Amino acid sequence: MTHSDHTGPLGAHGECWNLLPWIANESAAARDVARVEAHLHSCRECQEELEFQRRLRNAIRSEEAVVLAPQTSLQKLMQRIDTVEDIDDAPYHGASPRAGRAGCRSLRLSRAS
Amino acid sequence: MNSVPSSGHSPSTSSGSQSNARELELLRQVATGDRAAFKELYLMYHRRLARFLMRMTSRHDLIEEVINDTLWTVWLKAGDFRGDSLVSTWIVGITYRRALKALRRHGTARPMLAEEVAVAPDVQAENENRQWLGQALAELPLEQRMVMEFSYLMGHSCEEIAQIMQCPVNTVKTRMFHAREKLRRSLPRLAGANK
Repeated sequence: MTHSDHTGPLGAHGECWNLLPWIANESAAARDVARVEAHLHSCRECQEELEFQRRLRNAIRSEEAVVLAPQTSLQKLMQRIDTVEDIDDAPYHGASPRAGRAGCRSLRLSRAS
Repeated sequence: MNSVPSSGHSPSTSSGSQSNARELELLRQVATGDRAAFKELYLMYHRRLARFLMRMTSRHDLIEEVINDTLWTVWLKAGDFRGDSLVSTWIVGITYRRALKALRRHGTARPMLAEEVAVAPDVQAENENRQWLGQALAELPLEQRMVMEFSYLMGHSCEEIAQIMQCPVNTVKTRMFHAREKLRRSLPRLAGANK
């Protein structure tokens, strides 16, 4: 059976085939792992595909992109938070700080969006 | 014969549960205005979000903008998080939507090219493989590429990706199916390396 002639699951083989990426990244639910494992015993095509997906995953994860320094960005965001809270900090000093903060934050979010 | 690992990043695993429990604790502290907790959460997410966003754009100013807009939203909305998903799924979902908006706004919705990715210069063959991979991923439609990145770069489950992209699980599977087919054709060396 080939997989270029369909775009969705066909029976147990198709279901397992579609689950292989999440077997490869180890995020599949236990019941799916068990189902795929049982199928793999008798399906060489899925065995090879799982190996390909694992290689693909490893290759993608190993790509080391330039990583930005977080401290500078964090400092900017903290300044943004300080600025907004300086403008309207009255709710923070009320009888119910959390309620005030929530209301204030909702307002700010609508401004930010 | 392949063996299937029984552990991983799903919420049902102990490592995933512990990680989410810590993040949930931080989020609750953030909801009370705890800046130390917010900074910890920020630093926890900055690298993984930056790595993900670099696959969507090479503009560092946009990447920083999206990360800070995302964490700004987290600061504002932490108290509204109901725990319907993992904390990471919630935050990555915000990032994804913010990124799409930013890229549309700036008209730079293009993938990062392979030559823009900093790679280890010492091994020529590995370098070439990375260039091919970068190019192959770049040629995928955005939504297919994102499913691949969410799965393999970020480690999310199919269900989590559906939550992040706000689409049905079957749509995620279909996008992944097409991405796999295209990558198999465009990466014959990687696809057939064991044959």
